[in-house]
Amino acid sequence: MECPSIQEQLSAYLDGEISLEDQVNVKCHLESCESCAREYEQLRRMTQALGQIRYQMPTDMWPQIQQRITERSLARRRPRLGEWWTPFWRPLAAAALLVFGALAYFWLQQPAEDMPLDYYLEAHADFAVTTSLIPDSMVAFVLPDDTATDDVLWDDETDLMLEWHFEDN
Amino acid sequence: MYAILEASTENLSLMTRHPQCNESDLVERSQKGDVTAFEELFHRHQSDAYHVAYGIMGNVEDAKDMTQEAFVRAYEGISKFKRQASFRTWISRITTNLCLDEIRKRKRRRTESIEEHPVLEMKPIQDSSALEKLLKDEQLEILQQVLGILPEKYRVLILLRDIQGHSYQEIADIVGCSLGRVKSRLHEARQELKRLCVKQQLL
Repeated sequence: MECPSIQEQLSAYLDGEISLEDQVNVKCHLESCESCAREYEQLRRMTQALGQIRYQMPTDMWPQIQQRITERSLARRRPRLGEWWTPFWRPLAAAALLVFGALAYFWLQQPAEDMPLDYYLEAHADFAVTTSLIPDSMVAFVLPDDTATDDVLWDDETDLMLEWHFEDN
Repeated sequence: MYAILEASTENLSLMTRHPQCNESDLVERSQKGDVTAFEELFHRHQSDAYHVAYGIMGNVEDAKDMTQEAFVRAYEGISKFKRQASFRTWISRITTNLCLDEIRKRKRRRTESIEEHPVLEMKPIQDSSALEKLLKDEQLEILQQVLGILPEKYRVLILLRDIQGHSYQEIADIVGCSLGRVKSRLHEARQELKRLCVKQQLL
């Protein structure tokens, strides 16, 4: 085997992470090649030195970990608004919406005769008297009850009766 | 005298509150919400997490913070821990990911100052007998500085293999890549570190 391919395997050989066959090949090569043997020795010394590195440990890490664990578990017990929207609540919310919609529909469909007729009539009359939407060629005025004619609009129950008179010209 | 003895006994019992418990029991109890069992797991593996964190972050404050956060995340996610790997491998993976994420975030923000950067200044050694003193303390300190100059992607692998002694398979599990990639990347990492050591006359 050539030196470059042996040198590529030196790292894994050092860690015993290559096949038995490759281990034998590398070992044989190292015995006969001074350059690769020197390379291997450098690697070995370096990794041995690295293995002696020990960082000084802080002594007080646990209390803060415990505090963070407690704080976060408390925070989880108060779910935010979005968290209420769980799969469990979705069908219930949909059913509630459906019931509300049905009630609203039936309420709006109630017959209009429940409304007092007088209210409508008064409102209509007030509108007709106070608005200026009548064209100039038309005159609107209120007639007393006794002058009622066939042309008078509206029925006897109203206090006000309206009649349209077209000017002759 | 007795007070000292008592205090040290108390300390000892604090550190090994569950000496009879194997790790599997501790994990199982932690999964059921037993914080004291998780505390024991912390005492057993804080060194693993801290060494990885310190190696990547390069300073005590960040390493401490990342280690603490890693254990908090581990506690929160322990119900999902399937025990296919050991707790040691799992906590190393959490710590590694947290640290690398943090470094990426800082690079994006570009707010880090030179003092905070893990890269340390190189100090050339004038001593011609450096080779013989490689294993001595002062040389180790320089080696740590040289390690700090390595890119994170290499430093992580050196830390996990040469300082923490993880197997290639464990490293693959921790960094989330194939066994072949661990092998080739570790080779590159060691070549780069060796080049820097030679430059510093450590080798």
